[in-house]
Amino acid sequence: VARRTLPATFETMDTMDKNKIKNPDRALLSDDELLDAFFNEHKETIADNGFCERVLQGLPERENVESVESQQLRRWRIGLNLFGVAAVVGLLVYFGFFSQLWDFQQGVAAHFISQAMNFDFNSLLVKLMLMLHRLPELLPSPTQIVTIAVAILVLTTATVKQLVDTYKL
Amino acid sequence: MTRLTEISLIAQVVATGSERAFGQLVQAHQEAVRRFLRRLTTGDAMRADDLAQETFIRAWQGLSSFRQLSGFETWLLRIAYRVFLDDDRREKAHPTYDAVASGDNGEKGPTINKFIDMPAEGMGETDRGLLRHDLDQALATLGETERTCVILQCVEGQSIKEIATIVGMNENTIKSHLLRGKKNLASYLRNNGYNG
Repeated sequence: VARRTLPATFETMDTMDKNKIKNPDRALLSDDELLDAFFNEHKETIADNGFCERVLQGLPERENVESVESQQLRRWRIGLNLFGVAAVVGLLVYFGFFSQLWDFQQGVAAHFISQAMNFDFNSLLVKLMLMLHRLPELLPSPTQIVTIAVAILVLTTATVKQLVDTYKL
Repeated sequence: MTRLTEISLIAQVVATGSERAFGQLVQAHQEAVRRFLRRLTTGDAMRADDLAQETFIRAWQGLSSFRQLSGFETWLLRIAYRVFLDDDRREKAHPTYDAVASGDNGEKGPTINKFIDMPAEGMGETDRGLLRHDLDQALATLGETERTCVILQCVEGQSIKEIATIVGMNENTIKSHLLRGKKNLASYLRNNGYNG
């Protein structure tokens, strides 16, 4: 592109040139009106002139083009998730959830051990026989099976989609 | 370009990496981005076009992070502004021969380009060159942030909310920059014969 020294600056422009772009009615214009008029006169349109072509030719390969911004965003997300999990665990520890869980688990274990000590294998056998006898009544109907299958499918799809969106898998 | 077309093109680029779709986006927004950068660089068309190219490359690389929270053009102008700031910082840290020769130590406000694109033929084109020079000279009297805010509002027609997104400041700060910038610019124009 040919580049030349500008022949006249704004201050040194002669009055004729200034008058071309000057409107005498502006004496009473407010700042906003004056600026609107000034920028309207100086509106510039820029033709493409091969710019798009140059941009497209200079594009890098799209593999591994995750920007620094999105990398940071992903790291922030993972960090926030970890922080959330740590916060929940911390709160549970603070309110004694785990000690209560431990006590409960010990109680259940003690109960099972005492039950196992006095276990009656004959009654178990009778109960198993009864259960086998009533098995056809306990099985779900075809409609129930389809409903459960659809529910599982929807939940799985939603979870997978969420994971893909979050971690851009 | 309608918003729907734009969203569909963005989706194509993100999903398939379509350069054709990205080309259409570049074509639709090149003017706003290049004009914004030309005003920021006080009329240096070559530098502005280099920065615009860098802007579109960054947009291409980061398009998957575009969340539609702002308009696509606002997002592009935000990238363009960052690209300009990075370049400006680099230039101030390592001044070029031209900047040293012109005595620009990088601490003062921008200097108007001594060289602007001047078409060789036709008085009309020369007039337009002078008009552009006036515009850049007037804008160069403002501080960097004031100038950016005034350009975005008066040249690019962005709202205060969009300007806040582009510049990364809150709306009240933008309003005060705009108020001060417009007042200074109007007073400069009046002092230079633009008020009759």
